[in-house]
Amino acid sequence: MMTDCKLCSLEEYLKLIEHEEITYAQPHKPAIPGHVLMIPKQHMQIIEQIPDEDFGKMMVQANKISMALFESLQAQGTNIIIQNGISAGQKDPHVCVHVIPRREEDGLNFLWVPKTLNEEEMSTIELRIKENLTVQLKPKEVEPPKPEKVTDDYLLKQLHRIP
Amino acid sequence: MADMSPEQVEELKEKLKNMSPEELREFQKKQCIFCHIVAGRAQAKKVYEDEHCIGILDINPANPGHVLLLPKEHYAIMPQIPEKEIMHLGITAKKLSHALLRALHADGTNIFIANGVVAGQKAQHFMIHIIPRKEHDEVGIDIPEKLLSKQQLQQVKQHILPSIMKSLGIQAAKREEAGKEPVEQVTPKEQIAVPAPRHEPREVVIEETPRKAQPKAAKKEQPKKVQTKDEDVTLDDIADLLGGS
Repeated sequence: MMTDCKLCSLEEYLKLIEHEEITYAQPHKPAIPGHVLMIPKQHMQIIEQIPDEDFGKMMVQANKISMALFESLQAQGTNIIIQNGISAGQKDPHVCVHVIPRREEDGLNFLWVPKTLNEEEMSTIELRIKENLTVQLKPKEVEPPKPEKVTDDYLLKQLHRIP
Repeated sequence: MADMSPEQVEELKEKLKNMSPEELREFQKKQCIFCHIVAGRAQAKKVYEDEHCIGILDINPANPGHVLLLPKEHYAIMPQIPEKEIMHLGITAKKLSHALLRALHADGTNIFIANGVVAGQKAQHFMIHIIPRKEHDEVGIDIPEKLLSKQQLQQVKQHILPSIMKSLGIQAAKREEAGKEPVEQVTPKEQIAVPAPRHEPREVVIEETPRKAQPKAAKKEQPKKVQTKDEDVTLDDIADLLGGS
C-alpha cells in the first residue's frame, strides 16, 4: 500500500464492498450516479504490471458489475473503460476499471472523432504490431518478474509524468 | 443485399417477423460484417488471431493503431459471453495493449467497451477497443466528474449494492453455507438495445428485443432536459436514475 495514493487510501471514494483482490467503490465525483470503480488492492500503476490471469478475472468481474448496473438501475447500456497511463486520461497512478451505467440523453459521450489513415499507413502499423506480438508471444523460458519488482520497467518509463 | 427490389424487401420483412429468436440470431450472424471478417469472407487488417478471437485494425481509428478485439463467436453484448471467454479476451486485450505501447511507442492505452447503442456501440458484434494514446492527441474518452453529496452516494450505494453482491456471487456463497439454493444469475440482455444490422430493416431490432424488455417506469422517468457536463447533479437526477424501484 502506498500512503499517498488516493486509490490505496480510498480518500475521495465511497467503498461499496471488497471481494477477493478487488475493492469496489463509488468516486465522490462520478461521471453519473451508479459509476463504479474497480480498484485492485495491490498498488499497481499500469495494467502491464498485473498478471495475465488476474487481469482476465478483472474483466470477468467488470462484466458482473455491468450486469448488476443493468439490473439495479435499469441501465440501457454500460461502458467499461480503462485509462492506462496519464496520456490515456489516468488520474491516479493506480490501475482501476470504470464501469459506467448509461441511458439515453444522459449527457455523457465517450466517442472519438475518427482519424483518416491511408492504405500505406495502415499497412505499416499492421506490420509493426504483428512483429511486436510475434516477439511477445514467443514462449519464455524464464519466469517473468513479479509485479512488485518491475518498478524500473521500460513501460513505466514510457508512462512518465504520472502524478 | 443493398440492391434488393421493393418486393424482395417486403418479403424479407415478412420473413423476419415470423422468425424465432434463435432464427433471428442465426440471421444476424449471416448479416454481421465482423462474422464475415472472422470467416475470412471480408477483408481486414488482422494483427492477431487465435482459436477464440481476432484483433483487427479499426478502419475508423480514434488514433493510428486502434485495434478491435473480437470474439470469433457472434455475441451482441458482453453479458451474453461465457466467463471463460471473457477471461481469454481480457488477457488478449492486455497483450495487445502491451504490443501497442511497444510497437507504436504509445504513452498509454485505453481499453474501451460499449454495451448497447446508448453506450456508443456501433456494431452488432461485441468488441473490445484498444486505443494507443499519446499526449494531447485529443481522443475524447475523458470521464467527466460531477460532485455528489455523501447522502446521494449512500442512496446510490443502497440501490446498487444488493445487485453487485448477487452478481459477484457473495450472497450466493452465504446461502450455500446455510444449505439453500444459490441465487440465480440474472442476465439482463433483453433490455439492451443492440445496434441494427447494417442493411436490414429496422423492424429486426424491435423483434429481437422482446416487448417486455423496457421497463415502463424507466421510460416514464426519463429526464426531460438534457444534462450538460457542467451541471451539478441534483437529487432529482438521482431520483430519475433510481426511478425503477
